[in-house]
Amino acid sequence: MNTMSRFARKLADMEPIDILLADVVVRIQLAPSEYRRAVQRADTLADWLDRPDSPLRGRVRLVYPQGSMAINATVARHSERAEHDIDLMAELDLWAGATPREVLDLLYKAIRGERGSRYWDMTERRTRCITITYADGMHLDITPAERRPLTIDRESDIFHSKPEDPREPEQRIAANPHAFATWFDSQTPADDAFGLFFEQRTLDEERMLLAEVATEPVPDQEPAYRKSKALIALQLLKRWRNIVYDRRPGQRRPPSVLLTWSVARNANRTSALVEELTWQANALLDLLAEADGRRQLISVVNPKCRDDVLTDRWPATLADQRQFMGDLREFIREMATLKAAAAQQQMLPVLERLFGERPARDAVAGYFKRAGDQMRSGKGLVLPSGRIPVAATGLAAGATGAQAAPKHTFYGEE
Amino acid sequence: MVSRMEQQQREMRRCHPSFKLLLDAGLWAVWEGPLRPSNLTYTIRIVYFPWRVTDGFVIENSHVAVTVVNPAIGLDPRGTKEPAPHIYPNPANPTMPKLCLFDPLADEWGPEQLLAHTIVLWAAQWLFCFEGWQATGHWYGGGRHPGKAEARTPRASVASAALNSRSLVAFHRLGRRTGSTASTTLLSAAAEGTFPPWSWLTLSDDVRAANQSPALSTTDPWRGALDRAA
Repeated sequence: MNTMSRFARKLADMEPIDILLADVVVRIQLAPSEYRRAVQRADTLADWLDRPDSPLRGRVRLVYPQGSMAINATVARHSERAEHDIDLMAELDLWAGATPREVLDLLYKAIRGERGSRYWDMTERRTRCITITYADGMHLDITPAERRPLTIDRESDIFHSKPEDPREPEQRIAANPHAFATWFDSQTPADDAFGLFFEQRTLDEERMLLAEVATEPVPDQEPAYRKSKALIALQLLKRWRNIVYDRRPGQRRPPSVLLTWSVARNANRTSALVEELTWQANALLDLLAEADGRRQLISVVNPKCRDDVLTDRWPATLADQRQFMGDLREFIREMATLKAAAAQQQMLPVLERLFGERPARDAVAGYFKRAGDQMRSGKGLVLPSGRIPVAATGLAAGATGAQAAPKHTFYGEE
Repeated sequence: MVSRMEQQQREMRRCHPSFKLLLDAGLWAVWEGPLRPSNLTYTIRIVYFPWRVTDGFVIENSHVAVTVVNPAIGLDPRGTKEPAPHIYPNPANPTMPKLCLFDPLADEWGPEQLLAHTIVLWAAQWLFCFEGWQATGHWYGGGRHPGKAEARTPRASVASAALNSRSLVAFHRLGRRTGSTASTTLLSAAAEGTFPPWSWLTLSDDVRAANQSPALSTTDPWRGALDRAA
């Protein structure tokens, strides 16, 4: 019996709202082919930084993913445009006394190269990283880092330099995103049946997208996409946060690393995705409220590197903190509406508001289309309760406890 | 030898135990039960006639009629002034159209097939597609609509057949078969799926008049006798 068949009954019983929420994430996450493209681009960049005429030749020790890329929690930035931010660390061998400004300027120069080089027009120097923007909307953010001596597990200093604002001091800042990612993974192991369901949904969607370009075969497995409900909830919270703060241009948003830390601390307490999402939003609100109650700003450190302060840039004021608390309360109210909705017709507007019109509409349409395709081909399943087990599409009737409905044609007056 | 009706009842009990047999009138049966294709639970009613030709008369009803009792489908389920796709209108109760679950011209179903393995499953699929249509405006389960020449609306009235035969013997034979010698009006009402079955106690002159099946003759020789008996 294959693994999917083992979990067939669990999949057949999945609640529609969980299927829809998971499908929203399928549409906003970094797809497997995009993930591979990001890895390729990182490798190409590492080679470029070490080219014969590079100012960093011989100084690049390691380029590795960090942040969302390290835990496969990347989500599309904006509500309508599928732009993803890929975070990388470039561990460098620096000279004694290198200032933050020198390090960031050097990395910028090394990436940009000479006029006419591939990265010349794509590169931007920022306060702590260099951003490369590709034509397909992918952004690579490369943060220079230097290993701290006598530490383990890639603990490093990163560099803060904002030349356009002389009042802002340059700094070296402790960071260990690699250990943080490892810690997150240990706190959020993949669910069994749900993880397999999400992996297969991701691959089905990938097959549909790549069928149009027919460049490469889609593998049967992609273990990196056997995600836990906690990780999916994190992606949904990040997406929602992006949409809320898209409406506040120029305002710094709560950092993903704070959301990630909170989700990891509160993971594995629920059994359904909609419950996990609500639970995580409540847990984050409680965390902020606890600090706010003392009229203090929330302060969170990396559990694997106490010098790595995850909230050093947000919130800047109590007003920032309270604004986001208000947003979370509204999110929790919307989740209650979603859970109480009797049918997808009522769920759709809530999903659109929270996660964006396009992924919400596509998720709802996809939900009905998958089952509809099965019906039309005579492979539709029906459980004794009348439930159409959308999550178990393609599985055998016997394994799911469902009956196979004979092929038929809906008829009747128009 | 197990009769067709007994087979149907047995399989319905086995596969869909939450469905209740509300009426077993010999010549027809009525079940009601819940289906929950997605989030919402619907109660559907199945009226089943295993035979349409018996003892010299023809039953004009379809072999099977499925309606949604609760919540009613309604005349404008999406709020866009469109009725639901794939239905037959139900003049007796327009908010409860009959679901069109199979193509009658393609021999997709016959009364010898088990309701529990066909009609009930197809009704669940219909309701699922209905919810999809409500949410998106698109019917994902496929199907086809007949041209005007093909369109047929099932005609009601068990008893009109007996009347048409103008045979008292046939009428009483019908009564023995169904276990009821209720009036033609009440039999018509039951055949339309009105439920619970009305009794003379609940039937006023106005209601009787309103419930006249179009097939009933207003010069019905039996009506006078039955009215006098009441």
